[in-house]
Amino acid sequence: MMTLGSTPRSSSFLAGARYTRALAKLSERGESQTAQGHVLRSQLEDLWYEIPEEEQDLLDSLSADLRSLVEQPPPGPEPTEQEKIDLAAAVSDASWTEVLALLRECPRLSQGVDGAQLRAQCWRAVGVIGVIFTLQLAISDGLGTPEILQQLGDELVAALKQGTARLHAHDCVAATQGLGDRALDYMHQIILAEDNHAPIGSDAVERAITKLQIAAVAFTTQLVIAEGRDPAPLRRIEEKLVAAFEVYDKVQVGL
Amino acid sequence: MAPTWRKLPFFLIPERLNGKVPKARGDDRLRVWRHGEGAFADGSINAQLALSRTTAKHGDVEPASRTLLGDYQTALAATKNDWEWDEA
Repeated sequence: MMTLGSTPRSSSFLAGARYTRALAKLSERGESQTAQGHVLRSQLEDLWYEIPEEEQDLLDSLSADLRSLVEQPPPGPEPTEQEKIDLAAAVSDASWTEVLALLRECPRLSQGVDGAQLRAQCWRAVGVIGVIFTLQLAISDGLGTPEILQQLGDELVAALKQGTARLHAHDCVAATQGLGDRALDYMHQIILAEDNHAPIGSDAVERAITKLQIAAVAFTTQLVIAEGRDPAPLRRIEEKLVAAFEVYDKVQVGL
Repeated sequence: MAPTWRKLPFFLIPERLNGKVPKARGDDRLRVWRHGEGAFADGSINAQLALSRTTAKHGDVEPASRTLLGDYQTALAATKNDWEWDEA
């Protein structure tokens, strides 16, 4: 069982990670060669030489990994025994940047849900909390199966329970605007059910939770993209989500 | 400057090159150029200019000695024909 902490990072690095994700999002929409994209590049250049080389390397890697989510690289050859040993050793040593590099060089070392989760855990361990959700969201958008989505939901609950979703006040507006109607609808269903003392675990709520797990990943992505202090309204929704999932977990265990 | 164009920051490598370097997210109007074949190390580029390495992946082209800004710019401009377009 791996125990992962998260390396504290400078505000410049976290801003760089945010700009990198924003640029990746623009690329996905085919809008990276626009004035908005050029502003992000300029912001990255302004902070680039303020951050240590190790963090520069991380942002370079982040850019490559984000691309691999939307343009899957060729799987490449089967990993050699040495590569498998190297991966196991890197995981054992908690050398997360090394794990990321190995997965990038040889995607077949760990594929599918396992690979996505390992990569997400690595990014979390090196201090880029939000990426875990970006990685998972991409999977749920493009490659999702019910089993994968279930795992995404579990991961989301764990992250929410750890209180890792935070917001800058000024990013709150952007994050709120970025929330999909779908996500808000499902959250409102849960909150309404709870406010009306409807039993969590009933068929209607259970169906909503399943959908909610998908929507909540999108929602939380927006939260963590902002990465900062929590505004009360969104924190309330987050608390409701956690409460709903906790009850749901108990019901599931009880079954 | 960087030792090779693949080691430039991801936002300075034109995005059209992402088939070769997946991290590339730079402005596609940019081109990547190479100067010389020497090692990426502190030292003279010519009589007027010198490379000063700041990290293993970044260096500045500086005046070889204290000089006027105009002369520095002229020295830089004089290298124009020595640069090769290199995106291979």
